[in-house]
Amino acid sequence: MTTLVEAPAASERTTVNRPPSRRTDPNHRRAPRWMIYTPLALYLLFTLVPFYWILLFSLRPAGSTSVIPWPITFEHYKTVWDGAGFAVFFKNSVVIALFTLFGTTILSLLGGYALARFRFRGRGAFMVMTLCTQFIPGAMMLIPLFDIFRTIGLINTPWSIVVADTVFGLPLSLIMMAGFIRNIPIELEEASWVDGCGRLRGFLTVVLPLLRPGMVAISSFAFIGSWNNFLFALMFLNDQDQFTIPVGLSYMLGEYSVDFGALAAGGVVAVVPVVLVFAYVQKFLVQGLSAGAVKG
Amino acid sequence: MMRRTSWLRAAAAAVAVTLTIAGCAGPTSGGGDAAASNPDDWGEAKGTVQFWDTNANPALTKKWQKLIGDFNAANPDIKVEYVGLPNSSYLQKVDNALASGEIPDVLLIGNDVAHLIAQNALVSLDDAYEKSGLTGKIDAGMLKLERQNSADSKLYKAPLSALSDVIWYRTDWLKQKGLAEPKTYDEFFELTQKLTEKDKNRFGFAFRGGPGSMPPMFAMTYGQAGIGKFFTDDGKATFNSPEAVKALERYVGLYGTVSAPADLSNDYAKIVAAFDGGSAWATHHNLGSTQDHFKALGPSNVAGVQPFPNADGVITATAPAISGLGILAKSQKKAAAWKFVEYLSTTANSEWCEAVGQVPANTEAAKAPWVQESQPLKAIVETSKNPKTQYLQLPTYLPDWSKILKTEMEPDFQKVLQKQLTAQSFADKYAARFEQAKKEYDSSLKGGK
Repeated sequence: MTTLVEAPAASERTTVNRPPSRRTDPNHRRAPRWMIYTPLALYLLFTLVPFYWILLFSLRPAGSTSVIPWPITFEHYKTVWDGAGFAVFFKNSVVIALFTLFGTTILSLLGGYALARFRFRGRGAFMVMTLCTQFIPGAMMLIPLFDIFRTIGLINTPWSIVVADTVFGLPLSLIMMAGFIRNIPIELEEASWVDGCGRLRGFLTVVLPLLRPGMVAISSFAFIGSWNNFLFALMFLNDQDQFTIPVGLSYMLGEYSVDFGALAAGGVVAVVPVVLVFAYVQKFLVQGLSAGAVKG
Repeated sequence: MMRRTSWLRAAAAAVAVTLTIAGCAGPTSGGGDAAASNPDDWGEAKGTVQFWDTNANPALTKKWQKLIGDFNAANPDIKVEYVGLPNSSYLQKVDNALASGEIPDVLLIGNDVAHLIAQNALVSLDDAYEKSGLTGKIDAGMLKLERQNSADSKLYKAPLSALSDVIWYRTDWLKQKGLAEPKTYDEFFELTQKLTEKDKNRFGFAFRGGPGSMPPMFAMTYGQAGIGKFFTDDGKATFNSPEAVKALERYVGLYGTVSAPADLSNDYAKIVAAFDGGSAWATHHNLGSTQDHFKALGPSNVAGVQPFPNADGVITATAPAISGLGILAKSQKKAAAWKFVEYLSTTANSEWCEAVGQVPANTEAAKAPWVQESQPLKAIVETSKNPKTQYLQLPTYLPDWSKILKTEMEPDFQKVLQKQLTAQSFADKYAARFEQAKKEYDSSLKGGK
């Protein structure tokens, strides 16, 4: 025997089936465009003026007070690239930053996986101690690091900077990477094990592709941190041909004089790789940083 | 509960380890043994000498490399290696080097010589000067000033050049307005007012109110007041004398009236930028920015003058800052290092000083045509020859000198500029502070500490 169920009334149906609305005020009006764009434009202006200032000083002749870079000159770039040795400093910075990037990313992958997937005695203490290393300023560790590097023959080599940058960048990267890996369900790995993968192959084929945003975020931080590091390069290197961009940039500010054109041109040279890196990876960065923020 | 306790223990242990490491890692007093100053014990003049240029910039680095190339060619047994360091951070590297033992052999030193002497980092050069006959070739005044930096009155830095304070102004602005160049402080202050056009963002004076504001303050105050001694014979500071306070008030009065409000935070780079960028008619700096002004404005559009005479015709200039070379006490290549120092003090002195635009220490080099042709240098030389010129020696030998200036006086000076503190109170406070510092210094000398 069939029992007919009476359909709900129209008014009831709409109430039940309608998804919850975010907008509760039926009289709500959208804000005028100027209220959105004016603050945004002001903020953009505030952000871009220093960049314009750098470009202006780097492209206009010395002594010019023009607010547009005309007549345009590349003399300051020539001064920093050839005269100040930025060609060499740039190459050194790229090499050091790339090695730091690979070192930090690989070590944080290995360590982060262990922290995320294994339970072992002292894991909590290790995490806390790793965090505590962030309390020590780099300047405080200069002399101990200098002694260690001298003992193992790394002083006055780019490896001293790579090792120091990696070591100082690793704790934060490690903790971030552990968080990223923890957000990938273990069931995915378990499924790969059921299908015959070992732990390594499961990690490489299942976990690693999902970690791409996190890896990009961590490697970007490592690259930029190393690119901008001034102190270690100044302290651990004693050879003019091994210095990096930040050291070269500081040459422009003398004790009693300053060449603003060359300083600005050096600033552009220093900032371009960082801007390019950010432009390329910004979408990954946002994904990486917000990964796991909302868990369904 | 157990888990929480474990975390707390781990955290406590980690913090303890962190603090221990941090505490242990501070720089040691560094330095070295008492300097072996007898050149006979310095061994043979050969080998590789590492030279740290502590004020590197692209133009000067090129010049150093050229001079070092010439030296290496003339001295085949010695090879000098150049390392350029940024001036803003070099002292940290030197301190680190002294603590770790990875030192250079020769160091270019400016104002920080007392700091290095206090660490026994430098070897005394008196004997080397005597044996090489260099004493008679170097300006006696510079040698005297250098010796005042050490408690034992020895020479730890071979002077290369002297850097004098200069009042810079734009001659092209004066020509445009049909105004005459200033010859006295009264005329100078009057011109700063006449040439201020705030609506056009042009000011009479680029005021140094931020980092490094004290040297120009002392120069302008004592220059106007005509006081040639920082301490009287009975140890009283002259900084709060009525003449000095009156001069200080007049100098402070430039801020906000003929200078931009933003000058409150100006360091030297900003005053140079304001002057070279065309927003100020005059500023107070030193010879170090000569090339910047010439490059930006053209040598014919700018003039650099020493302090103006006061009403009695007396010119009071602060003693110049001297740049020179020091040999590290722990250097293993002192003889070779000395050869390099000697070369820079004689053969290459003129060429080096021309590059930096400073007064040569070598008396023969000071007669070079380029010195006579450079307007600011000529003005300095003329001032030094004037019998009514007196040089004020600031007590840079006081161990607390830099600390008092940078961490105590500079913030208070900004309060004076903002009218939160009177010039009289400021002068009284720091006159007492300097007297106390001098007493402590004198008693430490007597106590043999």
